[in-house]
Amino acid sequence: MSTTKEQILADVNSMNLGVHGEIMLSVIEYIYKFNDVRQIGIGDVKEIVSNKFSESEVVLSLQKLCLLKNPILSVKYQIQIDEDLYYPLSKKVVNDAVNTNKLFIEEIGQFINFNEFKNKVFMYFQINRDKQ
Amino acid sequence: MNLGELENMAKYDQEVKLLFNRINISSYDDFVSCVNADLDHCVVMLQDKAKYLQPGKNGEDQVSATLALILEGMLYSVSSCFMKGGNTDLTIKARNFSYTWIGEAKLVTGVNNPHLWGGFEQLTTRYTSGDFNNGGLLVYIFSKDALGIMESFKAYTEQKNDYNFKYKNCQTRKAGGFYTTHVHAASGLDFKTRYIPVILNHEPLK
Repeated sequence: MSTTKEQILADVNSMNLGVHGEIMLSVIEYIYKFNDVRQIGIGDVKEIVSNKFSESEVVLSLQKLCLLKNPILSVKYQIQIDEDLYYPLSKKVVNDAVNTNKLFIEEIGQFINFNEFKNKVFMYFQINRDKQ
Repeated sequence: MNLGELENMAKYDQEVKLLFNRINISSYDDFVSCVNADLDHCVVMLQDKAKYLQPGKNGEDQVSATLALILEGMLYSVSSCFMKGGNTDLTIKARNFSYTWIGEAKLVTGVNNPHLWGGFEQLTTRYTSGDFNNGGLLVYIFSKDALGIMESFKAYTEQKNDYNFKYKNCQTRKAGGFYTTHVHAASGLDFKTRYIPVILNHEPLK
């Protein structure tokens, strides 16, 4: 069964999320207004909410959108190897890297020092929109 | 945003780090690790509000209800059943996963080992099947010397030879927090119980 915008809005509205709830509702409206958008970043959301909120409030709101009953966002990671070369990283690989300081790059079959490369690992949010 | 920037942000806002761990969950062990860290965060918040959580007509329920509200704000699905006498069971689930952690809450106003042991028995024989093999006993301590109360209870459990408990001290709840592992009667699997002191004594001299 596909998830409707109404179900997602109802889930957010069922919780007392304060400022985060406000940002989350704005993001959901944006996602369903612009059907071609496939991913969303912190800068996008700051624009959507007219820079009214701090960066950490925006990050927390995006994280919470990944944790809904029907998560409208999924977190994704990639590491920048070169100017135009990015490799995707799974959540497990990133989680392990944070805990062990060893980041496994599948494409080259090697571990690298996570602390040295954490500024090259980027987080973005993929939109899980139902087909309408 | 890169993870170096996120790490810097998390230095000023602990919730960023906690939610980062949550959105990266890929196993039940990851979930339990997040619940434990998030409960630590909640306990600190509860202790900060001890003045407003003193036991009255519904004192212990008020603590559990406040805890449930904080957890819901962290996007957990929380269901609780409040019963008279200081017993509350608290079921914590990830909203988008089927993972579950069950807690039993007990209020104490001094050393009361049989009361706490009853909580452990309820947790492990009534509320859990052992399938999800982690749970916890939240000990709401309204009297002084939380450490002494927890140490007394730990010593009490050491006399329960049938359980063959394995022990581990808690590194985050210093006032006597600990873990036990025993074989769950229903499942036959190892079950890990976390004993969490919540220091709610509030007797200012001035």
